[in-house]
Amino acid sequence: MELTRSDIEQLLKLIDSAPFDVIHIEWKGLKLSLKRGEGGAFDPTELVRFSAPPASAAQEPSPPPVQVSEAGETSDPSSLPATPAPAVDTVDTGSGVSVKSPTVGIFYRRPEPGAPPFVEEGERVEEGDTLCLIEVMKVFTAITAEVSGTLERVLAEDNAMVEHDQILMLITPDD
Amino acid sequence: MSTSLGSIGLPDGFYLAAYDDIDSTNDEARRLTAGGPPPFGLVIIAARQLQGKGRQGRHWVSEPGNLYSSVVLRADADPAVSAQLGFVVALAVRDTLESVSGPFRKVQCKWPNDVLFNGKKIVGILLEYLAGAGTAPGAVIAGCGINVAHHPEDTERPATSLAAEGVEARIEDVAAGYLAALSDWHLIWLAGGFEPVRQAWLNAGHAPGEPLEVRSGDATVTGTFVDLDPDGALVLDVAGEHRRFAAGDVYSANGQSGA
Repeated sequence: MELTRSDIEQLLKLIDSAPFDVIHIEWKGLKLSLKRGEGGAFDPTELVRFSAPPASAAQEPSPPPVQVSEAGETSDPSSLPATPAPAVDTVDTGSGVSVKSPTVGIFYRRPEPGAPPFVEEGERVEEGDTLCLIEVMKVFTAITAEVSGTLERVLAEDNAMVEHDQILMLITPDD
Repeated sequence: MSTSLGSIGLPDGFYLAAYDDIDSTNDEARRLTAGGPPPFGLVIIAARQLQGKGRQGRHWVSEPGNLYSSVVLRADADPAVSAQLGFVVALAVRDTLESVSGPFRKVQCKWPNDVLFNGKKIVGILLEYLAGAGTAPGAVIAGCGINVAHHPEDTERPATSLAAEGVEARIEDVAAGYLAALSDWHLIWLAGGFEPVRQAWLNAGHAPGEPLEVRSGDATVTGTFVDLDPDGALVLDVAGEHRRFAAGDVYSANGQSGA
């Protein structure tokens, strides 16, 4: 697979705007790792991994996986792909627990516009607390905490489209 | 317990809790669903909602005279599949409105789950998905308010009520008709999947080539209606390219009211 300048620019733009520092992409034989910031050794525990779907599963050419993370960062509804693109499937969370979207849809951090978020980064959450909402075709799904702990990070943008299984938040559970 | 609404006829498998006042029928359904297996078929009806709400927390005027209801429906383990129940509810409302108003009134479905009466908004539908345990089917709380006696005047999009359109209907008849139609369409969806629902919706929904806008956040995409995808997504022709939309607010692109 040849990599064009445009591809490189897209990848650099992606990591610039992404909420993580390291991206490892595997796509049709190409393996590419990008790390933001000053040099240093590549730490595989920091990986956010995008994986391509098995070739047999693709009925039509799928978009390159780099588009996946963009879906979480734009409010353009036209970004919804015809075939759900591969989503971020693993994030190294240390001892943290990832909160994933059960479906493609719009991610809401607030119960209504103008209201405070259900939970802020750094705040404590109890098992069963509502963390966010996902809307698909005007059906709302409340995403609740599966563990008690501290909301470490919010990885998706409020009011933007997210993919099935996309990691939305990280919770550091109680000891 | 509301005496007049508490005696309406119910389809098989539905059972009713009726209230004179409630904060929100969806909230009450959620409270009664918490902590156990979903009470499929539970119907909450109130004569008045004190804190009625629409999509994204929008206030829903809920004075007596209109129908305020929520039904706990068996859904799917997948919330995206369960979202098809929005079309099920819309078709039940469509049938109800056609039944009480007779012919010559235009009832149109708007993607994904709104229904217009003579081009104006007459219903508010708010669906909430509750995941099942493990691989068990989830539940959808289908909140539905139908403007029977009155409607708000200061809305972004034109609204109406049955009364304002010259249709005299008892709220009990509207409620019973809606629940019967909802039960029918829900059974069709459970037994036959989305395709029969999709076909019925296409007959009542947007016309091919109808100009539509989809708004989400600050973004607006304009195109013409092509189809309802087999999973329920809206398909528009946008500058010659077919695009799918699974979320967003839909407006008529010629300035009329939308979903």
